[in-house]
Amino acid sequence: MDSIFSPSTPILIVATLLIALVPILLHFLIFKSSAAAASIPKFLILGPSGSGKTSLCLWFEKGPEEGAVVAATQTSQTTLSLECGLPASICASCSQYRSENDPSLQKEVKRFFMVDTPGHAKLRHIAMAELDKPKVRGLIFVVDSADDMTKVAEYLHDVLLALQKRAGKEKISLLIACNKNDLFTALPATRIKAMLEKEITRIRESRAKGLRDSGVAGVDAVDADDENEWLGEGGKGEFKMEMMEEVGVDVTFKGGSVGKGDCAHWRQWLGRCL
Amino acid sequence: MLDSFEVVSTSGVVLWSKKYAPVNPAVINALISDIFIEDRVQSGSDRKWYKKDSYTLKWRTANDFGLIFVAVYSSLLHLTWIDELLDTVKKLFIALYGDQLKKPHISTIECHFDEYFESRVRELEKKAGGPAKALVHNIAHGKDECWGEAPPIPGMMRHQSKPGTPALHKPGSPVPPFGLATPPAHSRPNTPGVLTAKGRPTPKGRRGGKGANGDEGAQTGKKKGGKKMRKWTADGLADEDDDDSVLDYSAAGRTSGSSDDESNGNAGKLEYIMQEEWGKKTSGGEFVLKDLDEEVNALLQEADADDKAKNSTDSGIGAGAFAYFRNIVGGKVLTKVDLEKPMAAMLDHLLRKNVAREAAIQVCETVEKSLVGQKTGNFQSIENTVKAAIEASLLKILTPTTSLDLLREIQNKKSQSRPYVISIVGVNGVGKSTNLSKICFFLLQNKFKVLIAACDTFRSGAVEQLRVHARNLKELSEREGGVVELYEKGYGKDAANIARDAVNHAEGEGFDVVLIDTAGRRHNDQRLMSSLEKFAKFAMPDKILMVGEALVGTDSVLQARNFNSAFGAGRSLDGFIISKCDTVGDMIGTLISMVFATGIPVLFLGTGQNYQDLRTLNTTWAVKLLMS
Repeated sequence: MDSIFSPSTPILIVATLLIALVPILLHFLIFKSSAAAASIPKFLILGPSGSGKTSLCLWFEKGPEEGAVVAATQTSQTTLSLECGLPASICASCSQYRSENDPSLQKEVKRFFMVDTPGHAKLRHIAMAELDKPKVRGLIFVVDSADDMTKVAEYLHDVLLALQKRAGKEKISLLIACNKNDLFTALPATRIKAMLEKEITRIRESRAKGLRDSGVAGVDAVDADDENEWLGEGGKGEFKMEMMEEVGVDVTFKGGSVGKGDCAHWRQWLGRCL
Repeated sequence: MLDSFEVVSTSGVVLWSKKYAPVNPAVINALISDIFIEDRVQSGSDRKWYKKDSYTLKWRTANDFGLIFVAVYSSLLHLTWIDELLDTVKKLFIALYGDQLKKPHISTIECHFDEYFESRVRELEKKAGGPAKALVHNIAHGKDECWGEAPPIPGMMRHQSKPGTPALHKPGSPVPPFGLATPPAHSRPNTPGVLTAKGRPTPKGRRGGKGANGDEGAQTGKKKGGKKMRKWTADGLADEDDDDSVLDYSAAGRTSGSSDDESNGNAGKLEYIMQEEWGKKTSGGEFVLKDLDEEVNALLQEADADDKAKNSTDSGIGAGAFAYFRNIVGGKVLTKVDLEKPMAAMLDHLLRKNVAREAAIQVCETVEKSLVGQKTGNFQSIENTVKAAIEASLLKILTPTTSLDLLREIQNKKSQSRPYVISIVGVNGVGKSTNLSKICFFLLQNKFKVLIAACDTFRSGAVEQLRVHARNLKELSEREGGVVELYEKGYGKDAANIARDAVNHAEGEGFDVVLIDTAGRRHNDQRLMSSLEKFAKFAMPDKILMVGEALVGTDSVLQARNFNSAFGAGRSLDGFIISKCDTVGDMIGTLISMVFATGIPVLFLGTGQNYQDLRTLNTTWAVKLLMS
């Protein structure tokens, strides 16, 4: 009995060490991964399969190198998160009042995370889950300029609806990157905008008229639900991208081509967001 | 012969690829979306191969690194060594570049894998006998050119202590003119000479310094494995210093000879040096490769030894306690043994939810395959990890790949003269007519002109039943502005002909939608099922929907499959209507079984006895019920 209560040096040392080290170890175990990533803004890349999301993500990572060759890509199954830098030649909006000749500006490279999401219809829930995460500064919705817009519009509608539902939180910018505009059948960005708006108008109408889904429980929930599911301003009429500004989403359409390395517009947009 | 080999990460980046013949990237895309995302198994393949446009594809996955290794070859050939190649390449690739792959936030890795891969292919082909000839010829051919540009080989090799590995280009050391006798590197990937040319950091590597450093780190690790190689470096001259001397020598040779003779002279001298130093016979160009083969073998053995060591440590008692701790804290690498118990529990759970046994087993198998080798998250037990994975898998199965917006499709079709034709098929007594009238009610509410065609000319009372429905719907929709009519031709006539006449009639009268009711049929009765093909040809429905009961159990898989294949080549079902969902509570496993068996989405759920009791499927709701 005595031996239990009498202090002995080795046991004391071990006990002290344990008390000191266990919290520290736990801290490292839990916060190690999240600490570094916390302070850097994040951009999400969404869009249908085959529109060039992964290539775009890789292109941004290559960043300043001109004529850099982007690796070939295949259909993605998981997200790809890359740390990218904006070259000094692009002026980020946060440093717009600084002198161009400021030597510190030349050296400084704006860092941000680019998160690529899979575009396959079965895996879109991954992208939607990423949307809800904090620290998302902007979205890039990549569209194949030569693609059928009726299919694209559906995904875009869901994304916009998700953004509308999170309204009231911080402002978010959305770039519709009309990729592959070097193709012969490619449409100009303005035309794509018009087509998408028209298509979304039809989608939201047919959604409103459509059947209730099996998740809705009672009759009471239905009315409240209907209002939430209506994209843009209430009432009939055309859907316009400008309506999204009311809920803090700023939509920009810009054309370009990853394959040809023509991404200047998109990079400038990034600069404005940072 | 192999057409193409690719190492793709699950995030979609091609880390390394080797193309022997141009292969459309859509082939591998199809593999990924069909096998990995949609989980479509081609009949008879048993998940071992995948055929697409005259190509056969085989693959291996490395879940811990998120890699897929794909080999593409022509279906005409019967290559027996592909499986072995995939296995060894997987081991090699991970042994060489595992460190780089573990880093977060990286997309591409610095890899110079070509030589290793070549050596494996050659060895396996030799083992199999036959097609190696072309390659051997290539090697012999490449030999001369190798001598032509040989000067850098001894220097750089000794510096790196092995041939063909990513050599760092030292800015200080004199680099002999590669261009003199070297054709473009990519033109003949088999020659040893190219190895050095490729060894220099390619412009691909964006993170020049960083990547190269990582590479060096990887190499030091490798050196331990390739001990035999050191032997020849050591018994020649003192290793670090003489690379300079040899390089000097080569430079001297260059200055002395004229530009054309020089390469030949150099070649002669070099051959001499190489023979001396390396102490290996120069029978053909193979001696360089032999070293590589040895290194490759050493690496493979090391990987095997690692695997064994891992297995043996896992079984210890102390390791058991540690594993228990890991199970609580997370970060445990999952093995097949760990997963056995939770997987069996999950299988039981799914079966209790009325998922057909076949579907449940396959879901569990794919999830298990995708989990082996993965690490559990922080403070996540194996059970939770398995549960989350099953949940994700179920969600993936139920999520449709195409748009299910029926209204929009009908709206789009309205501009054409032909009406939108929907036909409904199914086993006897599942509720075809009832669900047809529910859909009709829904369409009427949206002010469409609907024609119901009574093509069940077999069961007595079927036409009368539809007539009652039509009368009710007419009364209900009068205020709403919809129009509904019944097209009937009595009993005993051929259903396909009636369907065609109904569509023609609707076209003439300006109807928007035609709903065709068919006779119920047993899915394993060839005689009854065969008439469906003619029916599809005559009526040309835009949508063929199959009604399935939520009550049905194991049979659901076969029902879905047989109906799906009954419409002939090039036509399949477009969607399911799962009826009587209100009668089963949370046991909605039939949804999973049917969708899993065919990959066709669920369009509607029947949830009650009234016309308005029709719902679209909310996937998250369904998954929640299934996992509860």
